[in-house]
Amino acid sequence: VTPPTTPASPEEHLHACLSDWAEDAMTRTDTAAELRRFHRSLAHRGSLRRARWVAAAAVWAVLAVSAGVLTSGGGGGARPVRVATTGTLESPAPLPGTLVGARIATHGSLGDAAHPAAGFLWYVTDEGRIDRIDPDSGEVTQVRPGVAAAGPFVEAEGRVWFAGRKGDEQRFYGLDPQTTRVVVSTEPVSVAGQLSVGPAGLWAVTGARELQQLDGRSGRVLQTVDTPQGVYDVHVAADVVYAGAGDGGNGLTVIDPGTGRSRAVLPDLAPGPLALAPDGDLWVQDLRRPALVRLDGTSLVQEVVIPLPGGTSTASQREYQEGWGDHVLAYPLVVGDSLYAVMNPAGRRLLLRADARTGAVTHVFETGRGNFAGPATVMDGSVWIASRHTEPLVRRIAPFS
Amino acid sequence: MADILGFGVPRQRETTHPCALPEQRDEAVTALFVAHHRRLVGLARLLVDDQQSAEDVVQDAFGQLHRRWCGLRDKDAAVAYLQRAVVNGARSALRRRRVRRREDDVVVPDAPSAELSALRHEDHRQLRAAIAGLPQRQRQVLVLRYFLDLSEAEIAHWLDISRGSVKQHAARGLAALSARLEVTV
Repeated sequence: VTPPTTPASPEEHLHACLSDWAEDAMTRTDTAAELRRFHRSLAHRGSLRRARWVAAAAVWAVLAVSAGVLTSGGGGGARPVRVATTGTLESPAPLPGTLVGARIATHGSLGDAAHPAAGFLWYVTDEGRIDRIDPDSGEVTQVRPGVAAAGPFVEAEGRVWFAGRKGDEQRFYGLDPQTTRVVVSTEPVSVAGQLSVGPAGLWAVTGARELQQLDGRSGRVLQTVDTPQGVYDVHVAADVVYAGAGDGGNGLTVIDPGTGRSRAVLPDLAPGPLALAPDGDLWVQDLRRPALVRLDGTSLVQEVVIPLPGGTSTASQREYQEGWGDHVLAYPLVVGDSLYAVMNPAGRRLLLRADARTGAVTHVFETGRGNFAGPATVMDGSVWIASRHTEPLVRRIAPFS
Repeated sequence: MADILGFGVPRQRETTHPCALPEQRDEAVTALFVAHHRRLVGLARLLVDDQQSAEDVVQDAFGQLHRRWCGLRDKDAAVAYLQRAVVNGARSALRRRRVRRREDDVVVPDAPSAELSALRHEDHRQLRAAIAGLPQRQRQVLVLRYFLDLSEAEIAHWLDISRGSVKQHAARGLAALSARLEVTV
């Protein structure tokens, strides 16, 4: 890199700085993508005639899904790993149907994704307050919990649980979903982190290496589990608890909820966001690479890999990925036979839909303005996405055909 | 038509304007988009706080141009129209964002590009931060003066302020940046 020449005057220096700054922005913009977006907005207004000249600029390619075969490097021996290639991610299919209740403006900036619990969608604003959305009416109720709240929200024993901080003190709080009043809290913990609920109960991340199982009614600690690999994220399945190290750590641990002991550890994975499939398998992003991986729920053997598009994520996501490289971060979600993943590669907003079993990508949707605030969620058969932009939005997308 | 109900006289529908067929208008605006989009994003980025907003401002500018294409008497002035639309749009965007006071948290944060990462000009980074912290009007004036190389008269016309005000904003802006400029020059 050639060092810059020193400008002769402050004005010249200012000019050089402005030019450099603008050039930087020009380098990062994607004119073709922006042109497609512009055409879509025109089409939306009904003023664009889909003329021949559009064809060259807006290419709607059919996703070519092909499959290759690799051999697993996981600990369970040589099992085939299907690699689903996503083909032309650069030319996503148009969003089918309509957005239902398309724009629900929220009371604050979205700090996290919406989470379904007790028949409502819940999410935290950047101000640490909570908004409750009625998915039927779109009505937003502002909740003032009296603490700085953090997601996710999970429902257990009639309470909606979330993490909260007041001063230096962190606890988990349970509120009545109807009255939105906080009715119970746990004892203070060193870290009030992720929460998950499932047949194996309510589990919470309470330290860098510590998980606790909590009583869903009272918040009492039922057991404390130490995870040598470290824990950042927790997911509760039918009879196991998954503890993902994440956040610069390594390893995914399968814990027996009855004994608190680990059944299996996958040390070579840097697990990012997790999603559980109904059959007990697990979709997770390996933070070291732009790919979603399907793991066998018991053996943690890697079965399917979906490569993700190139391009970096947002700054907050890069913070999460710190130490693992600068590539796109995807949030998976499994609904029935489908895997959904939202991601923000290189400033774009993509919602991917794939066969949850084979990893074959069937749809990639460009969803328009705003970065995703986190994973998509499903409620009442619709996919909900929360996005952050100048307008915080929660959008409901009609069921895909 | 008499405005007997007080709702205002209906305007003629845009699609009936004889100046251009819709296809021709689309074609012309698309050609401008391809030719000038990047440069306009660069301009917008100097006036707002993040890349996403800059791209949105440029989208809005082209949308305005498309809507008003038939009313544009001099088609050669389209680029200047776009630049002014970007400057005005950026002003509105910044105002909205600052009212919210959440600009650092709710937008697509700017990542250091490969170019910036490579150069790592600490002085430019600090100068950018200083420019971003200027009052909106001073920032606009400096960008128009030192990036677009507009004259004081042109800036005054664009921003609808007096030439004296342009001078004042430029002087104050430069003074505010002087410490940073002097240190690095």
